[in-house]
Amino acid sequence: MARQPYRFPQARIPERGSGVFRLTVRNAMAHRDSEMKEECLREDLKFYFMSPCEKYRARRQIPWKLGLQILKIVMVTTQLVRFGLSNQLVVAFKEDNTVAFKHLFLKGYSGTDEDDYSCSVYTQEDAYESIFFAINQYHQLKDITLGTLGYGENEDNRIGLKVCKQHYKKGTMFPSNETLNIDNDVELDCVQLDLQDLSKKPPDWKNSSFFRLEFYRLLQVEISFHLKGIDLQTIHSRELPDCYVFQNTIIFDNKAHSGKIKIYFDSDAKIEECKDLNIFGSTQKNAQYVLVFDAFVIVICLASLILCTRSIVLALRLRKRFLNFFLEKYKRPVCDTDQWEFINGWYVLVIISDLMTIIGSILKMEIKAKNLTNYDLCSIFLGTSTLLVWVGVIRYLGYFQAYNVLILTMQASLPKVLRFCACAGMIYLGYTFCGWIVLGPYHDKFENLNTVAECLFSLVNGDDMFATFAQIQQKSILVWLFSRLYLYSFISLFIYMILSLFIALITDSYDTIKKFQQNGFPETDLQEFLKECSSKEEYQKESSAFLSCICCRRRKRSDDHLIPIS
Amino acid sequence: MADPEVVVSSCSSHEEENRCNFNQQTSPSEELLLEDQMRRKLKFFFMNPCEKFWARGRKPWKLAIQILKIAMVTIQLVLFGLSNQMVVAFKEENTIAFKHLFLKGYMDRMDDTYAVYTQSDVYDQLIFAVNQYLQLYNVSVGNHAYENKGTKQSAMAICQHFYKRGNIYPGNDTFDIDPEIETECFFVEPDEPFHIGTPAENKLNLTLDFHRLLTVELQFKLKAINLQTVRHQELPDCYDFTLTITFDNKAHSGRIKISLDNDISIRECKDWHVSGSIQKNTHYMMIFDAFVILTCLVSLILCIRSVIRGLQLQQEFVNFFLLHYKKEVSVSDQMEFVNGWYIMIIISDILTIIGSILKMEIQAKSLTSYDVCSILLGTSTMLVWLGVIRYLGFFAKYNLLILTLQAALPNVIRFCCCAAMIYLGYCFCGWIVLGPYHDKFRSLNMVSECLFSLINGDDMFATFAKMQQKSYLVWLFSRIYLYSFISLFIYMILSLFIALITDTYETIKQYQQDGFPETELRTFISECKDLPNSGKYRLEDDPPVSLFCCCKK
Repeated sequence: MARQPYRFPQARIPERGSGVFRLTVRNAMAHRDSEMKEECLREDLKFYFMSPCEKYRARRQIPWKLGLQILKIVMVTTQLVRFGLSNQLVVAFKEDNTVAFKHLFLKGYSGTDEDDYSCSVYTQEDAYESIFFAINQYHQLKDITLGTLGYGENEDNRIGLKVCKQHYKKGTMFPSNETLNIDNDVELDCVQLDLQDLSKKPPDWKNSSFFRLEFYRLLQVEISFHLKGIDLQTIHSRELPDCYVFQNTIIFDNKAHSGKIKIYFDSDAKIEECKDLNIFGSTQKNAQYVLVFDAFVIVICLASLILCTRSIVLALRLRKRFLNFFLEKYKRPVCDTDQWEFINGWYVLVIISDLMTIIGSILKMEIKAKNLTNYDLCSIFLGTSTLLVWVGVIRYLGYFQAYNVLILTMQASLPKVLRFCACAGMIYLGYTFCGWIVLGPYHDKFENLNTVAECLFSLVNGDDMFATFAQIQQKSILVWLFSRLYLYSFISLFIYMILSLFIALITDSYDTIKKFQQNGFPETDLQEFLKECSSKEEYQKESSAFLSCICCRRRKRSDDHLIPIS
Repeated sequence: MADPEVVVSSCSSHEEENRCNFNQQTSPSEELLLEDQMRRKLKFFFMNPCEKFWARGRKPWKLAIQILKIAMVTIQLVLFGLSNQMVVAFKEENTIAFKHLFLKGYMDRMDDTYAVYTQSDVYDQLIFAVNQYLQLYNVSVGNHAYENKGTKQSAMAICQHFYKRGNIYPGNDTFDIDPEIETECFFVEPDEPFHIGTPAENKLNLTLDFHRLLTVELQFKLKAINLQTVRHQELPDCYDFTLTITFDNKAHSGRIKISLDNDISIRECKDWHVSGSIQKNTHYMMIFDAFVILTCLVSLILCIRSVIRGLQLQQEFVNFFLLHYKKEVSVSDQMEFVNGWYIMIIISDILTIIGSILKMEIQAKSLTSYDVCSILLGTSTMLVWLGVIRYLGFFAKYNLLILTLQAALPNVIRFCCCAAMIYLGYCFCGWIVLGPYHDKFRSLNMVSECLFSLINGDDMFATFAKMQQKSYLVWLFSRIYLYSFISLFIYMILSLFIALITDTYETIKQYQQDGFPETELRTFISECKDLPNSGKYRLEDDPPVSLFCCCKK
């Protein structure tokens, strides 16, 4: 409801000197000037807080930013999907090669890993057999492998294996008498077995003293070698093939001296540019298309970045105008909440996602050109930026009142939820430490602090509960009883009380927002100032725009509620 | 604990009457002075640490001690946990190694299914185990050795338990059994000839009458030294393993289950020598543990002192009220003087001290009761972290949530007692009816765990699906049982829990806006209008000292 502007009362012409009359006229003009400035500021502020549809109706400007954002969402998501599919091939190739290596080089490998090692041996004979098996398989690689594998050179530019063993410097041990004499220093012995050494018959290397292991002071045996492979499946996707170097390490771990030697297999894959590449067909063209697409994504994001930065700069200027005006007229500063209204969080989100998309796209182009192989970093940038892009869609949903109540509820309840998480976090930490230390020896899920936290978090949400109860070993009655008390109390406390309190918090915030929507939100200085603005009809300026926005035209005038979303 | 609120209230007519009476005994000014002093004392007692600092300028020693204690107790626990992990891994891996060494054809995760079904397999298995035992030095990759008894090595005992007399003719449904059980044992010395041959040779001279046989047990002792601790700058451990391989024919079902049990004890090595800096690290750990004990002792003394002071002030207040107003203080007001948080701190301090002493003994290899030590240290650390909530409670916005939990707890406990009756009923019923047909209902304990998991939505379909369909009547019953239990507990009882918490939250919120219900104690204190920083609480010998965190508030 617009208030009629204050009119200066008609001044009577004084009978005495004309100086007084001229002074009065000057005051009136100054007053009018100030009033005009106020009106102008109100109009600018009101326009700033409009939604794109309202802005279109007010000034008939085409919502370029909105169109650009929609285009950006489509292109960024398309780019991500293509990158993901391509990355899947790389990951599958690496993983399949690692599994193949395990089957080739580890005797008796069952096809599934234990915790983090591949298999284990328990007798001296088995230990020797496993070591010799790996070496022999390396020697006969070309005759047995199914893949496109070849030998690679190590750091010394030699083709072959390097076998190292670590052991205590010297020591004697008689467990029968509980007697030991150990020098804590660890010695490292290595031997290089070149391919030609392995080809000799009979094999001299087997009888060398190096392979006579004193198990009571042996810590580990490490066999390392390089292999090369070419990933040809990318050709089917019309991409350039990748050349790989696999740096493989087999470790026989006897550090625990527990009678069990764990065998680890580690494979570090590096992607290199192939040196001599010759492919017939139209592969090259497809790669170029992808590069052009990536460049286009970068251009779109740059445009979006520039537009959003410009909007923020304009908003900061408007804020400064408002602050100065308020200070001049009302002699008091504007509160922080109103100042923050000018910083549109959504624009900051868009800027961050644009920057990440640009960096990710540049990395992706480098990867496609085989200059870089940092898939992980590229994945993080592209993945995060796409997440932010889709989250940004909520901004536009927020302009519809029915959606807005849910968004406002989440915003309003967030501080309370965070505060409560700090309290609940203390209880959670207490249970985590306690469970780890008491149940760790008897339960797989409580073996280290990280798995305890994951297990408890799963329990809070109702996952794997019976299995957690059932898995506890019953070796110690005391610990078994403690585990029952611990699990029942944790689950009861966190599910029945703490989760219920979370529900109460959210319910309370939802009720509050609903009440505000019915009775009106508490008004701030900024909003009170804006309400004095006159009708929006003044913005119906003529425009030569030929594009009409259907969603803007359909909206009825009575639905226009001014709800600034920050 | 809620901050004391200053509420203006007028004197009641009852007070006036009391004051008139006192006019005859003491002067009015003296009476007012005593009353004012009492109010100020009470108000000071219920202040939080920052307010106390403002009031008297005294440093919050208890707060600093508690923060230090939290850090030290947690560090101690983490170090103990990492050390314990190595012990556990060593034990577990040795057990697995023994299974692979002594059980022919053993593969991982075969513990439940490892069995033999023919007589020749039984003999093969026995001979294999004995052979592996005799060749231990040449076979094991670990530091395993036979146990020494004096100058002689201990032997492997092979025992069989069987019925005294028995003839069984299943074809005729006829048997003749004397259920008295006899045991025969003989021993294999480690220094016996290298190989005892093949089953055909049967050098063991062991004959088994499978009709009467109950179990065969091979029992022997081995020793090992855990060198892993040396790499972590700790003293090495010497281990005794008592191994028992059991062939179980009690069921006479045609299947003989074979299991290997490993009882482990840890002791101090008798004669050991390690070059390097190992001793120093152990000393550092001992010093740290001693420091933890000292910190907890200080905390314990401070908290006990606070509790005693609270009780003294309580007594003083009760006497004052009785003397001046001729009425008794209610029990709930009296309990306000006993700070529950201090009780919890005292308990956790005691547990930490005992746990730390045990830990020092364990590290010096005098004790090996890791389980008791774990429970004590684990519980005390949990209580220590719970105690942090006390300090969060001093902020009004956090206090709302903590008060809701506190206020809801009695209602929740009351409701749990009601729900527990229904729950127990379902437990007993499920155990007795479904037990024969469902793995999860085999024992009362498992039934309880299964139902508790069902309440929280875990493993529901699997519980339905696993029911054996041998008896249609019981199958039908199981459906009614499970559907009714899940519907009742999830849709009704859990929803009622949510209603309880929500209602309590609304009530506390209302109190925070309109003020908490006033007790007599709070009413009495609220008549004192002095602010913490007014200087009136300061004792004469307290110099003003600045503390950063309190000044900032």
